[in-house]
Amino acid sequence: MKHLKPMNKKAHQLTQSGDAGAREEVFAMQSIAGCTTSVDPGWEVDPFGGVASLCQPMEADLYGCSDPCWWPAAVPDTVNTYPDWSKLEDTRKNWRKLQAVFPED
Amino acid sequence: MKLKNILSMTFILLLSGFLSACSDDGKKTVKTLNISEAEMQAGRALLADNCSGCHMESGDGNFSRISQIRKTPEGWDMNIARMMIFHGLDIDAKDRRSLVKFLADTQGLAPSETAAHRDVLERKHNIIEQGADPDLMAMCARCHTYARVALQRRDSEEWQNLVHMHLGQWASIEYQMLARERDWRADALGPVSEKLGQMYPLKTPSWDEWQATEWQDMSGAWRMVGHLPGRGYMDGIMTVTAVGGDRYDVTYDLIYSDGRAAVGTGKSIVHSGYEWRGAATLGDQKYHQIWAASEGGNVMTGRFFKRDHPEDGMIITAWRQTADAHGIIKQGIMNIVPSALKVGQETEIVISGVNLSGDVSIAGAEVTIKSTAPGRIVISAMAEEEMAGSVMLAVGEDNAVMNIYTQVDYIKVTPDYGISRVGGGGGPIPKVMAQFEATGYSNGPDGLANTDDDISLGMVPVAWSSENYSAAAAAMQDAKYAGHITAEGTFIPAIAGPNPERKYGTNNAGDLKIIATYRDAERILTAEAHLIATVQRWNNPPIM
Repeated sequence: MKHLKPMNKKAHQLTQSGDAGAREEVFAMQSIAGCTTSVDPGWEVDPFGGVASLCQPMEADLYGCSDPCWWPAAVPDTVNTYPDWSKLEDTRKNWRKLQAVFPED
Repeated sequence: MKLKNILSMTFILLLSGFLSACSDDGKKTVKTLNISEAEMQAGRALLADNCSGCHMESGDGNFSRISQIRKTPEGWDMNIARMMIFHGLDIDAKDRRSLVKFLADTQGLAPSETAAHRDVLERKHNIIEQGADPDLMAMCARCHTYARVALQRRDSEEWQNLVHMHLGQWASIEYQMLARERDWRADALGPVSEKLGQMYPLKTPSWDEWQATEWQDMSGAWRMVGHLPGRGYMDGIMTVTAVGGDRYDVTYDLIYSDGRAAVGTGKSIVHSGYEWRGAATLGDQKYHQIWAASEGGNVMTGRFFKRDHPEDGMIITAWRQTADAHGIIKQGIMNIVPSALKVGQETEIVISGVNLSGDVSIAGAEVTIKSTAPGRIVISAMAEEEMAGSVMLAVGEDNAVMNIYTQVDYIKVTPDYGISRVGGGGGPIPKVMAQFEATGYSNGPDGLANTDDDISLGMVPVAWSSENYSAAAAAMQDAKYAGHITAEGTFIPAIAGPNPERKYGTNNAGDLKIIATYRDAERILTAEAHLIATVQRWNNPPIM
């Protein structure tokens, strides 16, 4: 990190967490059962184990992320698996129409 | 008698002897495999009717892709659901259930193969999976639980097929963060599939042995004890009647530690010889059960949770109190509530168990019997002298550990890192609550906190509050918007949807500190936990 300087708030947070020895803690948080943490940011948890760095309100740009399968275990991906899930216009306004997808017995 | 007739008679006798031997042998085979030939044929017919359009049937009765996998009942159900979603499989609910039963019985997992991952299977909330192989965690557990993987058995080639399925279905999988810094595809198809095939292969001695073990009938009366995290305890009776095909009708008669009673009925099924799955209605509340029977079949453990709120449930243990098929009758203490007794304080204690009889005593305490029954004894006890430490509670010949203490030295909150989810607000996804519990501890003989000799005093009553976890949370006023915690330690998240009152119109998510405060006269003890009150999810399969 000697030749890299943090330029924005998130980068500063990353640097500080590295300095404070929080990296192990961050890694441990990645394994909360059922949470999707693999992307930047995760769906439920941000890289610091909190929610401050998530994309919110998530309704603002939901399909921008779910279309390319960004969190397929938690949010229906609309490219292959649930194409009808992206047919709503303006999810920010119509989020109440978004349905759960697992076909219960 | 003519020679022809003699020969005919001899042939008939030989044939009947042969058939009789076949019949005996047949029964033996059925007993060994725990599944009858008729059930086998019916299951194969279901596979042929519903699956053979894509999965080729070979002469030996195998179906491509299907016969090379073993899974839990939930795993198989998710497989069928995936075929419905991916490939438009049209299957009625009855056939779907029958297929799950057949596949879990013939290609299931042995008790020892599910033991390490039951928390996830039982839908326990706030589980952090630890101790798994870091390479496999990095490959699989950043999108879903590791348990979803570890509760399957395949050979390496079949694990590779699963990787191909992921690549085909989720096009961006190679380019997501923590995938794109390496050759994800080569890793997944190479060392990861190889390792999975070694760790979780199709054929194992555990499954072979379990299939060769006689699976037990679950009929009888069962004594059940349970713990509702943060809220109390339950004990009661469950009466199980077999109705055929490993299915059971069940009645429940329960009593909670706050005095509430609950009665109800339900239907259950046992998959793979030990995977008890139940649906029950107590009052107007519907419940599901995911339990495992012990290999001997006289003990069951698992979770009993609300159907619409799997996070809200109790952890139970049930012992068969009537004789099993072999005439074995269990006896012993199952639970003591509370499990700790404060010196100088008259305390009512409920001892739950099976076939309890004899004198009741607690070393170092005066005991008065208030009521007694073979499954539930209520006593009043007072530890007169300072006997702090672990002592023996005895009922006749049965013993259990009871802790005597002078004061609570410190408390802990569990879970120390919890999760809740927004919900409701007119949308279809219900809120997901988070339940906290405070446990008291005595410092033990060394007088030091957080050492090996500390003694757990069980759940202690505390006052609950929540605060912003960090400066970022304070700036967004998370504590104000994300929800509230009840007097019983249940965090109830706020409603879903963008909140126009919040900066950016953000969701009612929040990063919170949960604080427990215990008061004992002048002494005040506190402990904290971290809660992420986060967003809902729309994909909720039985194994997350």
